[in-house]
This record gives sequence, C-alpha cells and structure tokens, in this order.
Amino acid sequence: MAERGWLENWVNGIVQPLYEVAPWIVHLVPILWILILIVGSVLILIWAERKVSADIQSRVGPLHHGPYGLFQSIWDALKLLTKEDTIPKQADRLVFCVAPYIVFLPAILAYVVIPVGNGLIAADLNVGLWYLVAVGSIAVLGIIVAGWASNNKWSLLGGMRAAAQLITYEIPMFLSVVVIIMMAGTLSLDQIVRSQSGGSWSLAPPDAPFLNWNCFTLPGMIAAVLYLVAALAEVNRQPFDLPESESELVSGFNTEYSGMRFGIFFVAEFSNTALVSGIAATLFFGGWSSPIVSEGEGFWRIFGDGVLWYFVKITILIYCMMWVKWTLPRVRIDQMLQIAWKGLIPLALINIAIAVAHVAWVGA
Amino acid sequence: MVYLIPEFLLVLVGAVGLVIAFAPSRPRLRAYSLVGGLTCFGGAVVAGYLAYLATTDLGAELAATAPGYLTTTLALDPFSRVFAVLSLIVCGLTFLLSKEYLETRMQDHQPELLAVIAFAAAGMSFLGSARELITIWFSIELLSVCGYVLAAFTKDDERSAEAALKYFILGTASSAFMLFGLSYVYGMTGRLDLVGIMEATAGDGIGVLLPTAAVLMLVGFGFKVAMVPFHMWCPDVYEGAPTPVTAFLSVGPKLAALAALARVFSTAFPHEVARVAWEGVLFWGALITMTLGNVVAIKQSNIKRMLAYSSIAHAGYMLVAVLVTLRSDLALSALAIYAFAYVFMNLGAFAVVTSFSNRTGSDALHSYNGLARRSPYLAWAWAFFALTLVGLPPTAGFLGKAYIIMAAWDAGATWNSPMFWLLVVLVLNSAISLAYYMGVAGRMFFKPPAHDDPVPVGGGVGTAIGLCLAGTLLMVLAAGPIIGAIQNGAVFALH
Amino acid sequence: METLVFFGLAVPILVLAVVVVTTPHILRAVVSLFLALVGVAGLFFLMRAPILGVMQLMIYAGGVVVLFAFAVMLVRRVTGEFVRQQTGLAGPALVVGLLFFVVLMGIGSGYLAGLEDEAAAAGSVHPVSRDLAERLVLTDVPEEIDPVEDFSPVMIRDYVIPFEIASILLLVAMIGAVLVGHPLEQKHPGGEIEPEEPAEEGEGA
Repeated sequence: MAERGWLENWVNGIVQPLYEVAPWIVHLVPILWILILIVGSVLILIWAERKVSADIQSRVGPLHHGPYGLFQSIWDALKLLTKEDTIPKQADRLVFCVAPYIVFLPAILAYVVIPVGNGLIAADLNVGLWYLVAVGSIAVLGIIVAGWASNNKWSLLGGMRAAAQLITYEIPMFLSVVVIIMMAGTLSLDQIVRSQSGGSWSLAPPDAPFLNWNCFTLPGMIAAVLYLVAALAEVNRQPFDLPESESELVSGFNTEYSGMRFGIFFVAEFSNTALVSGIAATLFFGGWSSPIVSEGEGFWRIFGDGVLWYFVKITILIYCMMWVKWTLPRVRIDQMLQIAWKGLIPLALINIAIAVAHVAWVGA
Repeated sequence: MVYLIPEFLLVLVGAVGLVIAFAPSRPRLRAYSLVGGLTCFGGAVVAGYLAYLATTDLGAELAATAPGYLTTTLALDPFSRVFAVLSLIVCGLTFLLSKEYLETRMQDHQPELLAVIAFAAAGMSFLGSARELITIWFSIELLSVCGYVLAAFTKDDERSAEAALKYFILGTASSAFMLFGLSYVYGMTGRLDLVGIMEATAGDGIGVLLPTAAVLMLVGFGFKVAMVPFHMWCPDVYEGAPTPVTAFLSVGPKLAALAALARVFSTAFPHEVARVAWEGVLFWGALITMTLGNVVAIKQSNIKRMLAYSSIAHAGYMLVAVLVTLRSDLALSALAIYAFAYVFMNLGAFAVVTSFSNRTGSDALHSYNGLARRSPYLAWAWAFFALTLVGLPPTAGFLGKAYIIMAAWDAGATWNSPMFWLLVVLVLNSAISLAYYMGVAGRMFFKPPAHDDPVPVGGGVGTAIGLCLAGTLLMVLAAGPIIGAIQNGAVFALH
Repeated sequence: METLVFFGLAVPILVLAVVVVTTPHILRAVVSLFLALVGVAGLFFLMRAPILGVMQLMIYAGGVVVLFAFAVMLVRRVTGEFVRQQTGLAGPALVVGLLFFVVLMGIGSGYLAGLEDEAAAAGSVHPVSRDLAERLVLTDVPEEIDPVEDFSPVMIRDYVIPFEIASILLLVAMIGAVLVGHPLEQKHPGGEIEPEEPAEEGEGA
C-alpha cells in the first residue's frame, strides 16, 4: 500500500548496485540517514537558537563566521572538541562517561520510525508510536545517572528534579498520544500521516487538505496543546528547565561536564527538541503532507507532498519553542509538578473521553 | 454477564468507598459500612440464586450461550458461584464488624480500608472461578496486593509496619515462585486454560518438568493458604494488622486460594506423574499444617496469634478435602460446606475479639479472665464459636469435618492406608484444639476478672456476631436438606 | 547478518549481566542493567517480536530501572560507597543457575518440537494461546501478520476480564502507595505550599 517516495527510489538506485557487492550495506543506509538528520538539525538549531534569542532580546547574534554567522555552530563544535575534558576526582568515572550517551540514545532510536517524507522512513514499525513512547522514557535515566555520578550536590539536585519532572510529564504526553491512536486507528506513524493527508474519503475541500490534520479536531487540538506543553518539559527547555536551572543549580546535572561530553548533552538537547517537534508535526500537523496541495504534479509532486513540508512544520514548531523559552520565566518545582498532576493529566483524561465521543459520532 | 453480578457488586461497593474517601465524615462512614454490608448480603442472595441456577438446565443453557470472553476466563459452574456467595458474605460481615473499630480506633482513611476489603473480596470471587492461568494470576495478585495494603494500614504502629513488610516480601517471593510455575506450564503446553493443559499433558514425554511446575505453583497457593512451611507470615501479620483486617485475611485469601487450588490441580494435573507429586506434597502439607497449627496455638498468650495458628490448622483440614478432589465426588461439597462453616465461626470468633479490643485495647489472653461477668453476650458467643471451631457435634464445624472425613473415606481410606492415618491425625487434632479454644472459654467463665467494668458491644459488631451465630445455627438446622441435596446428586462438577 | 547482530547484542548483554551482579558500585550495576535490558529489547526486535521489544523498553528500561535509580538516590547519598554483592554462596548459586539453564533449554526445545507436531496435526489446538505464541515469540512469522492488530483483540476482547482485574489491582496498588507513602500528620490546609517531606519508600506498587 505504501507508494514509494521519489527520494527512496533515488536512494535505491544508488544502493542497488552496492547491494550486489555487499548486501549488509542496506542496513547502513537508515543509520547514515538518521545521523545526517541529527547532525544537520543540531548544527542549524544551535545557530537558530542564538539568532532567535538575539532577535527576541533586540540583539544581533553571531555575525562573523559565514553569512549571518551561519557557520557559528561549526566553530562551537570545534571549540568543544579542543577543550580539556575534565572528570572530577571523586566522580564515578565509568558512569560519568556513559551518562551523556544514554541521554543521546533515545534521540537516535526514535528517528528510526519518524516519517520525514513520503516513504522516507527508516523502519515503518507497526508499533511505531508505542515504540516512540517507549524510547522516549529512557532518556531520564541518563540525566539521573549523570547527576549522581558527578558527585556534586548541584548535579544531584538537578538529577533528582529531572527524575521527578520527566516521569511526571511523560504521563500527559502519553495520554495525549492515545487520542491520536484512537482517531487514526493505527500505531504506524506512516499510516497516521497518511490518515491526515487527505484522499478520496476526505471531508476537506481539495484545495485545503490541511483541514484533515488531527489538530483541527477538538480532541486533537487539546491533545496538541497538551503534547507541546509536556514536550517542553520532556526536553528540559524553559520554562521547565529545572534540572539545569543555572540561576539556582549552577548548571544542574551537567555542572561537572566539559568538553565534548558536555557537547553531547548539548547535542542531545537540540536533537530532542527537533525530535519532539517532529513527533508533534507527525501526530497533529499532518507530518510531511502538504497543507495546500492534495494531489500534486511535477514540481509539486516533489515539494508539494514530502520532505519540504515536514521541515517547514518542524521549523515553525521549533521557533515556537524557542520563542517560549526566551519569553517566559522559569516555573518553580512545586508549580511545575502541580501543572502536570492537577492540570495536564486530568485534562488529558477528559480529552480521552472527548476523543471517544469524537470517534463515535464524527468518525475516525 | 448475569454471572458477574457478585463481582460487579463488590467492585461497585469498593468504588463508592473511594468516592466517600474524598470527603469522609462520621455519618457517611457509618452509612457506608451499613449500606455496603447490606448490599453484600443482598448480593450473596443473588449469587446463591446463580449457584442454584447453574445446577439447572436453564443455567447450562445460559453457560453455553455466554459470550466467549466469559467462558474462556471464568468457569460458570455452581462451585464458582458458591465461592462468590462466600466472598460476598465475608465482605458483608467484615463491613459490619469493622464499623466500631473504624470509628473508635482509626483516625483517618477508614473508607479506603473498607474499599480495599471490597476489592479483595472481588479478587476472591474471581479467583474462585478462574479457569485459565492469566485470570488466576491476576486475581491472586489482586488478593495479595489488597492484603499488603490492608496489613500496612496502621503504619504508625511499629509492629504493624514490620508485619506488613514481612508479608509483602514473603508474598512477592511466593508470587514469583508461582509465576515461575505458571510460565513453565505455559512453556511446556502452550496452553493457558486448565482443560487445555490437561489435554496437552495427557500423553507422555512431559517428564519431570510438569511436577516441578505443579509444585512451584503449590508454593504460591500454599502461601495464600498458610500451608506449612509457608505459614511464617501468618501470626505476625494477624497480630499486627487491625483486627477487622485480620478477620478478613483469616478467611478471604485462604478460602479463595483453596478453591483455586482444588480447581487448578484437579482440572489441569490429573495425569500420573504430576498428580503423584502434588498429592504427595498436599498429603504431608495437610498433615503437618494441621498438627503444627494446633500444637503451637496452645502456647500462645495473645488471642490474635492463637487464632492465627488455629486458622493454619483449619487450612490443614481443608487441604484434606482438596487432596481427595480427584478421588471422591464428595470432596468439593465437603470443601464448600467446611468453607461456609469456617466463615461463620472464624469471623464470629474474630468479631468477639474485635468487640472486646475496641473497648479494652488489649488482645492478651489474660485480659479475657471473667468476661462472662463483664459481657455475657461476648462470652457465650465465644463459647459457641469455640465449640463450633473444635467441631463438636451437633455444630456446623462438625458438619464440615464430618463431610471431609466422609470424602476421604469415599476416596479409599481403608484400614492402615496413609489416608486412614491422615484422618486419625485430623481427629486427634480436633481433640488438641479443644484445649486452647476451651481454655479461653474457661478463662471467661471460671477465672475472676481484674475488674468488673462491663464491656459494651457496639451495634455493628454485635450484629456481625449475631449473623455469624445465625449462620452456624442455620447450617445445623439445614443439615438435613444439605445432606439430602448432596446425596441426590447435586454435587459440584467443575467445568 | 542476523547472526552477526545477534552476537553483537548477546555478548554485551551477557557481559553487562555479569557486571550487574558483581560490581560493588551500585550505580554501575543500575547502568549495566539498563544497557542489558535495552540489548534484550534489541533481541526481541531482531526476532520480529516488536510488541515484546517495545514492552521491554517501556516497562523495564524506561520504568523499572529508572525507579531503581531513583531508589538508589533516595537511599544512598554519596558515590564511592561499595556494596558487598557476594555472600560466599557463589558455588551453589552457579549450580542452581546452570540447572535453571538446562531446564529452560529443555522446555524451549520441547516446546518447539511440540509446536511442530501441532502444526502437523493442525486444527485441534486452542487458537488463542498457540497463535499468541507464534505471533509474539517465534521467528518464522509470516511478514503480512500485523502483531498489533492480532494482539489487541486478544487482550481487550478474549481476555478482557483479567485485563479489568489488572486495572483494579493497579488501583489498589495506587491506594496502597499513597497510604504508605503519605506522611503521618495528615491535615494540611489546602492551597499553600507544603514543606518538602522526606520521601518514604513506597511498597504498595
């Protein structure tokens, strides 16, 4: 049923001859693809973060490396690579070194099932969404362990806060995802996108296929808001950056980290930001499907229904997250837990009831 | 769906308790324990009708047309509904007998306690009728988790907290053994339903693993039943837990686990190798359990500990009925009759203890000296329940024991066979139990009291004692019809 | 390729599992356990049992181990403290472990043989349990079977009663955790910020 996207055909054209020589090469293609996605998005995001924050604070931001300071990220990376990598004497060295990779792990694992374009998906698992949820729940361990292994009270406090926060906000996040499963009737992310991309059964007018998106249904709209709020907390961004709140905990769980180990935390944060935006785009905003053209030809076949729209959507979402980050003050830890337990979780449960009514009366 | 009315009622009662827990108040609590108790008794009548229905043609027709999700997981036979009746009665009696305790001796969380008891009773009912491994596992876990929560309710009391922790750790360990056994059985047969397991193990080639699995499962059940050597938690938990909770724990999990034990082992493992293993273990288990329970009970100075050992002994008696399920048609009837008698007499005895300790705050045996002068109702009630627990004729306890002996006899207990000697030990044990039950009664009637303050009996617990008395008496009065029904062939058949 | 991946996962899993039970650093044990569990999830995916793999990730790697780490942080305050893991019973433990291994191998091989027999005499078997086993565990699953679509009716239709019993069980466990974990002095005026209580170790859940 899955019609192959243009890019996959193109990639297959290159891979096919290689496959004749070394069959195991096909397993490397998705890995390569995911690495390109992560590294690319992180490099751009670091620059974007600086530019957006500068814009919001009426500054200019990085200027000197490349046009508009575009190469700033590369210099940042070089700086981190050449910096001295210190490990505190009293730290648990082994765990200290492993922790950043555990934080980074879910980002890599999760990209496996995200459809970036029509057919552009490393592995279309039929339990994709469930897998995503499962993978998302393991990053917290890395943060706890990093905070603990540093043997530093700020780090430990940061780790404890991270544990409380991440476990708490996982719940509304999962509950809002349940709504999408109910409406789409599938766990495959590719199918979820296709269910939003319009088609012959669609109720939406052909020139406005975006009306099929999940965020334009009542339960989907509530779920989208819930998901985005919970996602802010899950990636430790302001106003929920309590695990590393620099004004009270120095730098929280990563206080003792320096050099490239710190860099990996940094990369993990940005790739997780891109990841949650990608998931939000996929679940609520139609994924790679075009908002304006349902059946494109020629140029629109390529750009009207594919990678471009995916990146446009996550760019907008990431911009919103940065906007929130540089605009809102940080909440206090008890406020943060109250928001989740007394606000988001009951709302998410009510939303599931709304979704039941929606599926029953409006149809999936 | 009609078959599930007892379970629905119990869950509903529990849910109402949780709603009340939002805004607890004394009148609400009082109303809840009364209405909840009455609902349970009403449900018991319905469940009794369902049990009767299951023996008729109409019931068979209903069972045949029941939806698949019911028939795959639950057995819709009279035996299962009889245990639903039991769980509703246990729940109702516990509600009534805990009313004064909750009002006078607990500061908060009283509705939660009753709600958890109702959920546990629902687990009991499910366990009595489960006919495939997943349902068995979940209901036994529901019962266990409720037990841990109930035991931990008075956590500010150090002894209670320690008992709860012991119960939790030992309980989870035994659950792990049981799950291990279940997974072996599933691994070997690829089947979850008991009948399917029986079919899959009919041939040979299963070897030594099936008996191993059966014995591992026996560990889990044995813990719930408090079979020696898995009885260690029993005295500590009974002593540490709030008395109404002790009353519930001494009947609920035990009876449900015995019912499940009878069903699981007679349905799933009737074939040679596994059968020899579990019957052997149960034989020695029953023998040692009843003897150890009675002998150790004599030495106790705390009445709750004494009743704990006595309940271990009673489990030993009932294990005899489970032991002969495959050999005698009477075994399941004997188990059910004994279970009924045990519910009334044991809950009655615990109601007396609850009522006494509500006023005096003491569970020590010597504080019962001269109770006959301070509260004749409690003393006479105890004397009656003691006689019933011993099993002297013509009480309900005698009826139960007589049926167990008849079943064992029916199973082929000829002169000098092992089964014969088991019955001799059973009768001897009844004689031993006379010593400690009557010892307490003797204290009440013949020892001088420390002081003459009367011990008033609260309304709820007084009613519970009265109901237990009525129940035991009713069983004796209805002995004729019961025996007649059983002889007319209305025996339980598992399906 | 699959064999390669299998050993690439299996060998680290075994090494990490040994580390879990031998290391004196309790946090290293937690991290090794975590990595071993993620590896096991990988094995499940390799065997085309995505549901089991996802459950493994979510329940064990993401849930249980995080709780372990949390508990460790609540109980022990300083790194560098060592815990004694060996009790001098390594010999008997090894024997029991080997015995268990043999038993499991016996069950596994016997079960597979039994399934082949059943496939030969098809039709007489209980559909639910056998199909579940085939779809979830065995590797020779036909590609077109969708484990999710076949799994959910079994879970919430055929086995809806144990499913609901489990939900009551979790409710009771939650009540128990709240009761046990709740500090003893009860009445706080609502609305204002409570002082941070030292968390007690819950046991109900």
